[in-house]
Amino acid sequence: MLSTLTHLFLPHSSNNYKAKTLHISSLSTLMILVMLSQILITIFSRVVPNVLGIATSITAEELINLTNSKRSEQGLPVLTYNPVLAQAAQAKGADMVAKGYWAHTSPDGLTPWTFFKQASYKYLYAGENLARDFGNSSAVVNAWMNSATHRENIMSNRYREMGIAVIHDTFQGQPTTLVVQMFGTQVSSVSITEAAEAVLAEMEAPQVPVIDSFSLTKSVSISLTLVLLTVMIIDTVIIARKRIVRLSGKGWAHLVFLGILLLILIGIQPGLIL
Amino acid sequence: MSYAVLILILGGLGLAYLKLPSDRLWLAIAMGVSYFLWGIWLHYQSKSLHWSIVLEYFSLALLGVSLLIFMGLRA
Repeated sequence: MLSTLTHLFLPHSSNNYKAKTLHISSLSTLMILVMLSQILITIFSRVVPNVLGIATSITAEELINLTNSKRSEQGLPVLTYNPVLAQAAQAKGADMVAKGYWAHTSPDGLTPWTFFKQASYKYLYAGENLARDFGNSSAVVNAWMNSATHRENIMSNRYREMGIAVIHDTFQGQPTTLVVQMFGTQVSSVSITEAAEAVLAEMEAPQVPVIDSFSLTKSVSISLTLVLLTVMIIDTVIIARKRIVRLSGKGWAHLVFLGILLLILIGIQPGLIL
Repeated sequence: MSYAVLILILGGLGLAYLKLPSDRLWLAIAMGVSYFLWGIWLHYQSKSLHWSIVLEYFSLALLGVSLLIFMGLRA
């Protein structure tokens, strides 16, 4: 048992003075395992989406409250929820899912303004924010606030109303949560009745899976990198102390590469905005 | 000095990877390729370049790139 561990993790005569884990054959095996695990995660998240999939707690209501809270902090008037705008946002989201595009303009040339018009929203000013793959509403609004153009939409004093659609669907082959936020000011200020809120864009409640595929991939990647980094540190220290001469790459260079890789894996957060 | 270059290149690309989600695929590949070429260049300079060393840098770079690409796809 001890000799096996030594063979795997420490430079020793049995492994030609290089931990077996760091041999090219082991690294290749690890890479194949990583690829297989990703294929399995993809298959499981499709076959049993409730067990393995994307975890999200984004709701239109939270996004509206958070957006208005950011505006209030700056002394701007809050935006009124408009179900017609939410319908337009829902139609835009459904169009993106159906045609598999991630852009403000569809591949067949439909601009966001097309959806405003289709919903019979006659606007004086209009704007659109998009987001995908975020885990919660705060992360979405924070990402928008950290982007100058999206922040401009949220903080603009030209808009009076907003509508939001939160869509949980399979997008470009992956289970995804898309958020479409539409802003507008109508040409004639028509009051929107509370009764119309029945068409709130969030069409179905999100199914929160037991295991989040992003978190699982992140945990596996961090664990693997940590193991390699630890073995590499031990290897580099032992080789330096014992002054063993061997034909190998630079241990310190590998440490730099794995260290930066680990920092990236720890720092990466889900979500894209457009 | 050569290590400072490596840290600067990988650090810069790593930061860009985190800040520019839409460019993660090519940034991950750029990180792997940079690391691989840096290793080859360093060993070539010190006249210690050998096939096993080339393969070592290649396999480690490929593993790192794979992890970054898969993370980018899930994020």
